[in-house]
Amino acid sequence: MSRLLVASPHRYPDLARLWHRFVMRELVPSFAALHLDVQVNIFCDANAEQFDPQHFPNVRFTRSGPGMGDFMEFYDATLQAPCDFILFLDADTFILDGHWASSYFSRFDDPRLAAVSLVPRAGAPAIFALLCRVESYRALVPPALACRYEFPDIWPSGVNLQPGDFAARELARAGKIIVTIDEEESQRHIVNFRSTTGVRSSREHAASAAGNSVFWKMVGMFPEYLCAAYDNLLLGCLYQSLYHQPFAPDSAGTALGGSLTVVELRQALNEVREAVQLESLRRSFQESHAKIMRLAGREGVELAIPEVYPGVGTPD
Amino acid sequence: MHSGPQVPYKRPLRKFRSPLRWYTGPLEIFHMQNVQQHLILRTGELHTNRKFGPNTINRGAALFECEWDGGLFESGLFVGGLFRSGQFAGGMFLGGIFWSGTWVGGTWEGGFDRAGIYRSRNDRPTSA
Repeated sequence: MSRLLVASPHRYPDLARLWHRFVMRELVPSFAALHLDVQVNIFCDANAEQFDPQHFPNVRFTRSGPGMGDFMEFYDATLQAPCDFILFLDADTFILDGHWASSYFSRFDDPRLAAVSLVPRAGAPAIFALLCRVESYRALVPPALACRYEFPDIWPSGVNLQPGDFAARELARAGKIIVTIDEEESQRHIVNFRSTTGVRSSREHAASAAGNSVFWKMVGMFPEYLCAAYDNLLLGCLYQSLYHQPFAPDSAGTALGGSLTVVELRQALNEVREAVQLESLRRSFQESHAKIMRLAGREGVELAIPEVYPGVGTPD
Repeated sequence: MHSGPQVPYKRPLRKFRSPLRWYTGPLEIFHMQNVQQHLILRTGELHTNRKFGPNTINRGAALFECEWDGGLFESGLFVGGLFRSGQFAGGMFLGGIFWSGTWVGGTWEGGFDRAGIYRSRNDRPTSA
């Protein structure tokens, strides 16, 4: 029996709980039905003591240590785990249709196939939801999956490869194949948010190293923070509905205080002046709103989502 | 069911930058130092896409996609960018390239060595 490991790095146990809920219900049964021995692994990239095993039945936890110092090293280190296939699944990526995902497993009958990228990035394979044949990746010179910066001597004109990019290129050179699912098909079956962990860790890092005021400047400078914070607000509504606990709390326990609270998000949006940027944010929020409603629909719960931007949440 | 291209993979140069990703991308560089004067950066300041020379001391500022060349980084946040030379004595290094210089202290949260290989949290560089 072939062994499949569903693996993901997590920094925050609340998001991990949502992730785990969908993985165990939607993914594991579908792949197990293919007569695969399916295991689930959560790498605690930080806050390991906050991950209560009772909240994560049937999960194997790993913690940072030699050779697996952080989430980036986790990818390559996991290639050495006792398994034949790995599904790397990002912390904020939710596969809603396990039958659809597992249907791609038969593609591995082709020995040239190294992976199936279920969520693309700009039409190219990405690690967001990557079903890998371990043998193919182990054949690469490590580190194969971590990000890297090529041509650093010509910074800032070098090439910053994201996780998995280097491996994808090397596999192609070796004549291997990565099937990249197109975006439209992917979005029919998968809901994924972006940078929801990143905005939380950025707040941690900025506040500790440069002060909270700098984090506020970052929020004003980079619209991606607003999008990620809104996604956390939505995930928080789902989390509150399911577990009746605050999501992304700060050290005082304030809901979303580790991301942007509702009040902070409204305040930050009030300071956005450019019409083009506002419209871009509105579209992003609207898309995210539709995503969370799909997750809520799967759970059979209704969400009370506070309005932070007029019109978001109503049909265009 | 439709699958995407299975042709040899060629990745375009990254144009987009965001502090929420691992990056250190193409940016305009400004020279703001005057070699005759000390420049002290302080807590609450945020600088992007700038080059700081040997006369600079950082005491708490956040630097995004900046080049550090010869100064003393006492505290603050270094995100992305190139640490070309100087002393990193305190603060946090995140996602940049540590090309050369002296690592005295501080938090290595992750970044690249001069070969462009990722070094994980706490795998701080040895002085070069």
